[in-house]
Amino acid sequence: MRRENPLTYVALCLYSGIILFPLLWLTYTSFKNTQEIFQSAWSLPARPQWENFRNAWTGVAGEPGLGPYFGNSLFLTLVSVTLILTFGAMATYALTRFQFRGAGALFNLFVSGMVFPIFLAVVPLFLLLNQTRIPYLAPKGFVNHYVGLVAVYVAYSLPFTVFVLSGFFRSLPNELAEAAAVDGAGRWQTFLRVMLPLAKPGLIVAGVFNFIGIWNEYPLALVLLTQRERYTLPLGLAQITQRQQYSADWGALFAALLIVMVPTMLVYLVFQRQISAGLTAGAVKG
Amino acid sequence: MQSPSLMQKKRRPVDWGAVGFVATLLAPGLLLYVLLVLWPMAQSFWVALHRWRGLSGNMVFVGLENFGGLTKDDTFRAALSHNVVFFLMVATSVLTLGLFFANTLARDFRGAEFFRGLFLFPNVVSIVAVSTLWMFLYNPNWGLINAFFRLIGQPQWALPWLASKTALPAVAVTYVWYVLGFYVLLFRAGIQSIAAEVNEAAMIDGATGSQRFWAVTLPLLNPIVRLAVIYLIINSMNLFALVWVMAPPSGTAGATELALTYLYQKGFVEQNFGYATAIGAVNFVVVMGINLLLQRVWKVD
Repeated sequence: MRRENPLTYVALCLYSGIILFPLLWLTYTSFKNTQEIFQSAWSLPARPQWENFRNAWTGVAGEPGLGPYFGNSLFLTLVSVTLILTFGAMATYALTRFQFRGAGALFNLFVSGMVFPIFLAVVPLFLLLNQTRIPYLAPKGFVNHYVGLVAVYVAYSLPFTVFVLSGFFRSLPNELAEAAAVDGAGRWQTFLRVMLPLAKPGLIVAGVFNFIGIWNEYPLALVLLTQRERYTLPLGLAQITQRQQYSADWGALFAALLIVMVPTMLVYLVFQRQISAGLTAGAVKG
Repeated sequence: MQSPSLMQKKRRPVDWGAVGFVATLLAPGLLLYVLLVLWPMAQSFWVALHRWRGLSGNMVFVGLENFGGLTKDDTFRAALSHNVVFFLMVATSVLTLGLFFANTLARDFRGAEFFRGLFLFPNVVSIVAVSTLWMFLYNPNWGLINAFFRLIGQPQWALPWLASKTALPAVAVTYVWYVLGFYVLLFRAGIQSIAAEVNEAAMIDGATGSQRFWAVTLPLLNPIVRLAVIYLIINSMNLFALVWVMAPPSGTAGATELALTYLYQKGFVEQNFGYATAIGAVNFVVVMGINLLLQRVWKVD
């Protein structure tokens, strides 16, 4: 492998520093106490303040901690991603592996959703969820109701998911499905046992991508969740940031920020290749 | 493939089993998509024609009154101009830095893979976490940025960045930090798809590295650059979370009021639903209009 022009390295390292140093600063500052934070931005903690992390997780002086929000986010994200992959794979399979009148139009209808800004529809969406009442399930409507938010996340993630999966489903060889049919497999068996496992790389790309997107999602959750005990992690962090300015346990706040960032960092380290693939796929949709 | 065609050739009966199978596969996704995406989108243009305040209030049809109000609304006009200024700041930085780094990282050299991975990383962090991190960096008293200016002996540059006119450029810097990796990836994919032969031919003709970039790479990258500009327009017009968490307009004397922060304020703080929806509709039409115009004016082939 050849070496680059030294000036190129300087530019690359400079920008890497701009990315890395704030993250490094966040990490060592989250071990400082508030007094140390006020004294100097550069100094390292005299003694690592592990209690910052405990305080961030459980909350200080009657203020809520991140713990419950972490649980809420994990639950919402896992349920949503499971349903997105299920419904997305079903719809994509129908649209790409069967030729019927309107299949192309339906596919375009789905994929066109990628260019609609969520905010155009956010007021009617809120009013729709607020006014729809279903006895027993949602007697007071679907605002502050996880069924409502999950349904919204699934609906808004389908365009991208169908788009990404279609590339994988289209590339599957016909012969395998035919062979399965000859062996007496029914339609569902062929779909679930033969075709779906072959589309696994696509499901991973779509899964990782939707996981990150929903784990980080803010505007829809802000509008559709107004009760604090239902908050997701981004809503909780935003709220703690705003409140902590008055109670001023800055060490705990830095720790809270680190707690929020670590899961995505880990996902990124493991799935970097899939994330790049998903980003490029979404980008070339044109 | 058990049923290559549901539209059976004439004389062959319709395969109802296959029809039912396809319908079952499509039903849940299509239902949710129509109900929660398409229907509210379509409805928004109808809600925008009404006066509707408060959840218990009545919807009163007022025609174009909300849109008339918007043309006279100084806050809304200021907000739109902030979106445009934000776009200009972000687009210049992203295009220059993005193309430079993409052109560099398109080559294979020692460490290239590390830089590619690192540059993309901020893009997967939660936007709320990015906002919070940069609020800390910009903190006037103990933030890293002002500490840096004091360190290099320029304490007069240590400003309260997020509290006034400097807030919008400060948010733009944060935004560039957040998205640059994505555009580097986008441009790099484009550069790498340009056939190696084209570059080799230029090299044989004696073109230097920078000549090759301006004369060969950039013209061939034209469609991708246009796509990036369209993305930057859409995302600048739809910016919300970063500003709402980092520098809400209430703390900057309105210097960071954007179309969507104003929509949120009108709709979900003041519960003026008709007016808020009209803002969303205008924003949508403006973005679509600019994009159509851009695709007309900026030809790619």
